Amino acid sequence: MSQPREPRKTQPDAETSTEVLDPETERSPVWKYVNRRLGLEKAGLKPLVLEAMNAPHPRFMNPLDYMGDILMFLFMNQVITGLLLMTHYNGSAMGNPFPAYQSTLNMTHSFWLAFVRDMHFWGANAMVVAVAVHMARVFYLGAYKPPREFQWLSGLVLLGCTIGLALSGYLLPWDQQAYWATEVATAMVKYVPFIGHDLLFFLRGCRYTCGSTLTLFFAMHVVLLPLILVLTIGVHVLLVIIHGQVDVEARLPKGYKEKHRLGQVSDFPKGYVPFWPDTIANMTLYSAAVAVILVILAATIPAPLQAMANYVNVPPAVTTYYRPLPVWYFLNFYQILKAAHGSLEDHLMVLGLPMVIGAVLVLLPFIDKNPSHRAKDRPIALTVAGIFAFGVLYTTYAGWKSEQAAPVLTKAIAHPSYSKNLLPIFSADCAPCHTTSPYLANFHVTSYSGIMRGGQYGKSVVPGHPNSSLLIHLLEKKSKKLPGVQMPLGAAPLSKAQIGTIANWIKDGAKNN
Amino acid sequence: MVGLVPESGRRGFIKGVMGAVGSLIALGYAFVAERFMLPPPESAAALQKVGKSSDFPTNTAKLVVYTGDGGFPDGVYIVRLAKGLAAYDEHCAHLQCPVQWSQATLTFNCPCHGSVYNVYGKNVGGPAPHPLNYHRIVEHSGEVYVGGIVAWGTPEWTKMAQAMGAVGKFVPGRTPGTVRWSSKV
Repeated sequence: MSQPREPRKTQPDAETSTEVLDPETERSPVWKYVNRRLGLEKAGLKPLVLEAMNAPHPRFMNPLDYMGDILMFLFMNQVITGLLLMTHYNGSAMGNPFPAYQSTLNMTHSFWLAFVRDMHFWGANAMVVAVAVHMARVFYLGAYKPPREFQWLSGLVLLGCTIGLALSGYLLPWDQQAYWATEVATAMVKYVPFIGHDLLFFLRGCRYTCGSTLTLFFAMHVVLLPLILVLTIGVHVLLVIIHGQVDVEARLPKGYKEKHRLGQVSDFPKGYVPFWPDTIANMTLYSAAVAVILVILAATIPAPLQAMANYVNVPPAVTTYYRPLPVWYFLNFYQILKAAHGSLEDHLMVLGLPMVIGAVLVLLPFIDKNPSHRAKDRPIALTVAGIFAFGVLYTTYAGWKSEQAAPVLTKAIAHPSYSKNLLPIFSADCAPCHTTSPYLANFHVTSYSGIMRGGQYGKSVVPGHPNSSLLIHLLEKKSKKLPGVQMPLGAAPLSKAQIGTIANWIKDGAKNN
Repeated sequence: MVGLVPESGRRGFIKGVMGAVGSLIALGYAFVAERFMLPPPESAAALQKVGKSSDFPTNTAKLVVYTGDGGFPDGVYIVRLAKGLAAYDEHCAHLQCPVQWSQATLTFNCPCHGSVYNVYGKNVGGPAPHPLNYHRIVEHSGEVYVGGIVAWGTPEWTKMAQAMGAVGKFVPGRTPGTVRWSSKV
């Protein structure tokens, strides 16, 4: 590894000391102490450490290049707040109320307990965002290309751990949202061919999510996954130190690295600063900014906690069912699953899609043989990634949109518009069943043509005549074709103002306005 | 002795014994693990009284709670069909959300991804890949008992489906609230 360096005046004996130490580091008592105990010099790691610490970095870098450091800070936030939470959490699902739920509920009663829990909650959400941004940035820079393949792969392990931590942590409060979201997420395991059902049993410890699942997920959340994460972070960061950052390397003058392996600040090109302390100072500033954002979020928006988990989902005193919804970063997958119909499409989505995405991510550094790191040399890779990113964002948006409640109306609008006033009502209250796929009464409710065409029971709208329109009959429970049926089925009826608005629109001629 | 040990001599013998004993230990653990992981048949779980015969009128589904041997409650829909009582597990065959009975359409609707099942528990819409799981059900001197889960795909499930007349292809009825099975498969 080490290359002969030009002998310096202060150190004439170049043969015995091929590595020139930074005099400041050499004098530092910390370095002396650590070096002696860890044997950095003996193990030949001294140049590595010095190279990393003295590496020239541009004074100003793209803020996105600090995502890895921000992630490191966020992970430390999760560790500190998580350790604190463990002192008040009782992860058991035996007893009434369930201790897991009760202990979480108790945290919301004290300001500081709630604050720590909110910091943990917002830190977890921030980690998901930061991981996505970090991956996108790494992809854009082509930082997975040789010799950095293992950086990419270890990054994928970290991605898996982050998702695993998010998923396992989600169950711990043991409320309705936690219970049913975990039920749905883990159920996907049964799609694995041949061993899927056994694997699901193994993961849950029961046929359906139960107390054993909670114990297992708690163990995964606080022991197994953090352990894998910490070890992999070590590898990931070590590789970054060894290979350097792509855009830093690319911007250095040609041949600089070869000439000045153990860079001295005096040799740095213009506009460059040493990693320690300048770049680390930048990292600290970015971390502080993220910390401020976390504190503001935690202090203003508390982490949600719903009613206690109910395995049968119909509490005796409650007449409405609980409707599970995914966490926001799975709204995309949720939206895709809703569109799948029949066994084949369903298998393609639940099993095929994650497998294809996973395979592409793992194989990416080996498929993409284009050696260039420059955006304009990589039209195919960036186009494909762009389409994928757009798909993720769009389906997330569509999933979110599909769950928005219709705006509250205090009185019927006299001359309503289809797109402005009606579509939100249809999307919120009718689309959960009558979506674009014809499975309930063959009625497409989210398009104008679908509304006008009607469904299995004939035309739904007679323009100009709300009183003879099936749509109004069904909303008001007056239909003779379908006696006793009131839409939306199994949910609260629409308000008088909403039905009136729809009636007024039909009276105006049911125009596509 | 020599025939047993390919590598002659004491060293070879020790290596052979080491390998054999090591493999035996590994096999032993694998056997125990296999026995341990293999759960007893779920359908054999104890029967529980869930109500009287008169609690379950024709063409309506009622949700009862069945607590399995694991001590965890599970929702079970009981429907009186032409050929007797049927018990469906409430978990959707897709991703196991709890399905909801809709009396107006005589269907079980899943609130998560929109799967629909008819009164026989057969998947008729949405992403559901197969019908609902059953539970054992016994009606005896005016009392109704529910037993363990009978998973779709097992021979017992098929037998139960045939017994309740839920075989063949589902054809939606002309008027709401009617479902029938065509005789053609």
